[in-house]
Amino acid sequence: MKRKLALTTLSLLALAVLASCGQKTKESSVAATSAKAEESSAETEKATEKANETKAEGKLAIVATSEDYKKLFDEFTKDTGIETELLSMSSGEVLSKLKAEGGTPTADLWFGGGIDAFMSAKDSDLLEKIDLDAANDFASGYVDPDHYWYTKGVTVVGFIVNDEMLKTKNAEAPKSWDDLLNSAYKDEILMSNPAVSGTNYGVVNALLQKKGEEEGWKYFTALNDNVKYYSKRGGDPREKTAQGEVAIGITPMDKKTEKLATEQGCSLVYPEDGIPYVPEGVAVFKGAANAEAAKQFLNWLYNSEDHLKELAEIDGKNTIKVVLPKLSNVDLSFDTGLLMKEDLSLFGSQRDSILSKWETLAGSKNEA
Amino acid sequence: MKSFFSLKSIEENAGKRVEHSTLFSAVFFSLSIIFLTFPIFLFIVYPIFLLFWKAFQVENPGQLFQEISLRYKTAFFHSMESSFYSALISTGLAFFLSYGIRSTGKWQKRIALLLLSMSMVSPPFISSLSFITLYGRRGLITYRLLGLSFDPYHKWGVILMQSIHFACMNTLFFTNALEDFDGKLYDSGRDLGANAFFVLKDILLPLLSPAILASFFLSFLRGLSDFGTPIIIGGRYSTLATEIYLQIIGFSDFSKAAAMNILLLFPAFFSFLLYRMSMKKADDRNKEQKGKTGLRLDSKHWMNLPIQFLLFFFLLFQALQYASIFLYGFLRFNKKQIFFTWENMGSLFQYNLSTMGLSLLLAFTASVLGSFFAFLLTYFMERKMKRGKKLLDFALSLPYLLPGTCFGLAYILAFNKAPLKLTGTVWIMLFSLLFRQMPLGSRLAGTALSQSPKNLELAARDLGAKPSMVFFQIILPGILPSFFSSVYLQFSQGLTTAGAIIFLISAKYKVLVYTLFDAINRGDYAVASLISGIMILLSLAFSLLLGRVKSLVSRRGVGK
Repeated sequence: MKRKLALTTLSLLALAVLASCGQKTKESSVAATSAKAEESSAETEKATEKANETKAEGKLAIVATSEDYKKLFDEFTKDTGIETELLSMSSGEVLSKLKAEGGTPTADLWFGGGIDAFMSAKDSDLLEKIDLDAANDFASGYVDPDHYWYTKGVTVVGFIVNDEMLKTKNAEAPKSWDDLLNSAYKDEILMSNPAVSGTNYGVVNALLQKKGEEEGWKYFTALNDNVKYYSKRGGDPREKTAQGEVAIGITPMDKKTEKLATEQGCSLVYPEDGIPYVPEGVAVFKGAANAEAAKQFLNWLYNSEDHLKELAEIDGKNTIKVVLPKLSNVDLSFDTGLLMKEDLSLFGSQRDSILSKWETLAGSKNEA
Repeated sequence: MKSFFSLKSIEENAGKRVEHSTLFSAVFFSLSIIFLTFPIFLFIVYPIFLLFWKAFQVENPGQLFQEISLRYKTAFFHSMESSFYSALISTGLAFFLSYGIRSTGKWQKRIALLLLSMSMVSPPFISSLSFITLYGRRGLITYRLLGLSFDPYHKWGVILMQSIHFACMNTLFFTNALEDFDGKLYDSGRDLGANAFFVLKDILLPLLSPAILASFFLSFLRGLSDFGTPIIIGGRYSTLATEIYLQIIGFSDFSKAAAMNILLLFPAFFSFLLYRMSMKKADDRNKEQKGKTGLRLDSKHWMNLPIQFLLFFFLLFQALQYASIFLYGFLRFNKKQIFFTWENMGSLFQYNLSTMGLSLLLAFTASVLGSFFAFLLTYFMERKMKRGKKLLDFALSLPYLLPGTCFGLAYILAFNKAPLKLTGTVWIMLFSLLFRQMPLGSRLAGTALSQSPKNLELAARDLGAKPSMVFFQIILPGILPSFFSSVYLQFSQGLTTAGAIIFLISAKYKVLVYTLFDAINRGDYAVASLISGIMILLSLAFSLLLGRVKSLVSRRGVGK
């Protein structure tokens, strides 16, 4: 008796769950009819959007690379009265989260992160098209031709070098990308997996563009011999170099790297034969509850040189000048001639093929 | 009460028992089962099913699986290899550690337990950072002190770190089991002339097998799904869990990640079957235990010396690592020179520390509710359910099988639309914490139950006790130590683990782990260390509080 009852209830439950699963995987129209039968699916979508808006209390939710930007957003709140909430997340995480949310993002604005993630998000139809007032001021390549994403600066790439470690190997610090092939550096170089690190994807793509397909891949095959392993965290190369676990790290050259280098007595090298760089993206999520407020913020930012200068101060670099050459109140601290020539439009389209080729090449460094 | 012992009343009560078992009991039972299993379906089976389903939403699922099993053959093998060794070593280590704790003096025991509860708090990233600072190629201890330069970036580095980490939690299984242990058996073995070693081998080990099995099984699962350790210390050594992480972070390829996770199901299921089978044997053996006499281990045997040494070094190792976390928060580095400073304390307050409140609230709620739920469900499952027991038990273990990021994604997939819209709310965070640690609670409950005297329960029921009375007055007192362990573990895990929750937080609701990550993202390692220190102190405070509650409860004497 007991057993029978328990079994029937269990199987009923299982059925109910299965049924709801089936519903989920079908088109949204089914879900809509079950939610509110009398409304058409489009109307329901609007209704839920509205509901979200009231739930969000009009606060603009931002995903950024760090909470450093809070100052900037506070300024925006002071000027406009629109309140903001900030969350920091890596671009890989943002992309996965967005895809899982299936068109119901929990944030509105995406502020910073390697441009390859933004390109991929656009291709997956996860971004909202927005026309900014300043859209025409952007240098070519630094704004999506269809206006799905914009940029706010570039990340440049170089080396962090632990001189003490190199001394034990009797080796000089590398000055260029070609220097890295020196056999004295065997197992002393750390680089992040380009699939995880937008910066290192930039390195691979830029060097391939510079050297040409064939020579480029030859270079990475040779470099592979010296690389200890490819880390799955973007911050590993600089952290492990600073700790003396390896001698050379290929790393984004930003405030954090500079701080770490001064603290731990490491030196920084901007490669002589060209500095790869990756634009940092900015975009509004598709289906965002506060898309209008997000757009308002971007106009607030890009329409004012003062606000842009403040952004540059937070970032600790003036690379916004590369993005918006018209800017008059910030100057670049380095010669743009040192930057590699990159066709940014290839970044998105080549990603899959480059990464899969790279995976075969680096296979022996990743025992999986 | 006096009629309790008269034959007549037993007969009467026996009659009653049959009466309400036909009606009341049946209703009570099936209601309980619905009440208890429904959340398991909704918050474990359903989200995981949705994620796994992604593997079949591609054009040719067969081809996908074929490609993956070829491509990740090595990673799969590595997963099995490292998890097996870590489970084996951590279980063995935990057994000797708890034996050492049990046989040591009173205040040493207190210190040891305090250090152990501290070691169970493992702030993500910062613990491995301090490990490398102390034991890396230029580690303070290995290089500066001992002049060694050894490279931990390989298989054994992973296994070592996992073993040490898992051992802390596993020790709890054994300390609880030893606490519930029927000392009479040990004493009689000793009285009959067996020395401490043989008693350990012939009496202690076999009777502790539920704890051994549970800790081995859980560690194996945790090893399979642990992606953090291999990423940090594995170097070229990569496991399936790290490759899954790579697929999610680098490619957002859910289908591939899901298929790879399904691959992990096989060893997990196999180990689960082995676990259930051996558990059944162990249960039969333990049926007769009464567990009323405390266990007094022989502290004079030669064997004690190496065990005490092991315990000492293990605790020293942990103490050094945690001291370095605290210390790091008060240091300032400049050009390799180290200064002591209070500065970092100041910059700590520039961070968003309001996350602490929500973190505490979530960890507390999830730990108490989760443990209570896990214990109740496990009791029903083990003692009342006749069929579907294994299936339910496996479902309960599933959350540990998924790498944290996958678990978080599964939740987003499941709860992003009305009527189950939970994304962006506190609830999704609470439920994920609550159910993520379900395997731990249920395993602790299972071990405790297998040691609680079944005969006593049967006797009480024959005497006419209601099911609720049996649970609260007979079962509960026996499993209380394990219950408190479960609450503490869930609390410290809930406070510190990052994997799933990092996907579920929103700009509105953030937790302390997030503040820690933000500090790391800004390159502020000193502040990150201070935040880790806060986490450790909070957990320790909670463990002391629990200790108070525990002694209060046992002094009141529940069930007496």
